[in-house]
Amino acid sequence: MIRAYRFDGNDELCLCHGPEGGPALLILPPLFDEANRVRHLLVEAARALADHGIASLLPDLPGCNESLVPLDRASISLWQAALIACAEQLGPISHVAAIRGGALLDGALGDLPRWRLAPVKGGQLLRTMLRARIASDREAGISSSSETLMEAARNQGIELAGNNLSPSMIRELDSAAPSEGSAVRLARFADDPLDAEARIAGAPLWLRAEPAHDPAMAASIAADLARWVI
Amino acid sequence: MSEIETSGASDAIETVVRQVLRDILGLSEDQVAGFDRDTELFGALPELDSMAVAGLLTEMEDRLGILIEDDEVDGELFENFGNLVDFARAKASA
Repeated sequence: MIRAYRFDGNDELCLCHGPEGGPALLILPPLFDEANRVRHLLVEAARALADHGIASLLPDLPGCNESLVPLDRASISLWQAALIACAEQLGPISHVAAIRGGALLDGALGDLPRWRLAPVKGGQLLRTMLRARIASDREAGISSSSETLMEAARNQGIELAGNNLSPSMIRELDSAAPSEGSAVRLARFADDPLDAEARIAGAPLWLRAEPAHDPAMAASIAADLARWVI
Repeated sequence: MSEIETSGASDAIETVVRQVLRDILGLSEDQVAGFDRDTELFGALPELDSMAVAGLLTEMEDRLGILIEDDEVDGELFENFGNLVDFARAKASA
């Protein structure tokens, strides 16, 4: 079911799945391009969670997906405020699940138990977008560098890989890191050498040059979340 | 460092580069295992656009614990698999 939450004078859409009255999970998608590449995966995971008896909310962040707000009005802190509004209006929520850059936002929900798949720092997302911009500048015969682009970005904002980013978004993203917290369950892929409490079967679909879906991965995510929540 | 250890470390780096390409291009384990030094990348793989290349570099940095400067990135780097692996090895041992 598609519901809406009110934030900053706009209606933002939120996909709601599963039964009311039980545990409810707020799903925080990756940020920017990465969100588009895992949209299908997350919707399928939400459906699978409903089959496990767990409700979930998958909100649009202002400036993203179906939102009518221009992206250049968004920032990390604005997204966090939007998530608080979403949880207040469409909750209560009991748990938070974040993928990649979504983990930069989950601190907004206070002390709720958090699950994170392959969390990433904001600076890393910014670096990738800067690189794409430098590469397309080069194709257009323009010579640019991370330093000069960042300097301009901090003062007047910048367009990076199709995303119009405000000076506040640039500053917040550059220093954003997943918040510290005790109640965090860290999930990674089976072949990832880094430590994790949970192992997910699948591959980082958010990196794919061509978007793809992986039903087994959606099921694996839902199964681990269900074990954790119930 | 002995010869054996050197080649062992190099293989580990080559494996990481293979895995990053597998993840970016959505290839199977078998497909990337078939990559050799002369396997063409940029030009031969149309899905390797500027956004994909940007993601590839950031993932290599993250997984190998290296830092890649803007001016180290050129067309030659992505010409073939051998060039990319050589570059990763040089950065990782720097």
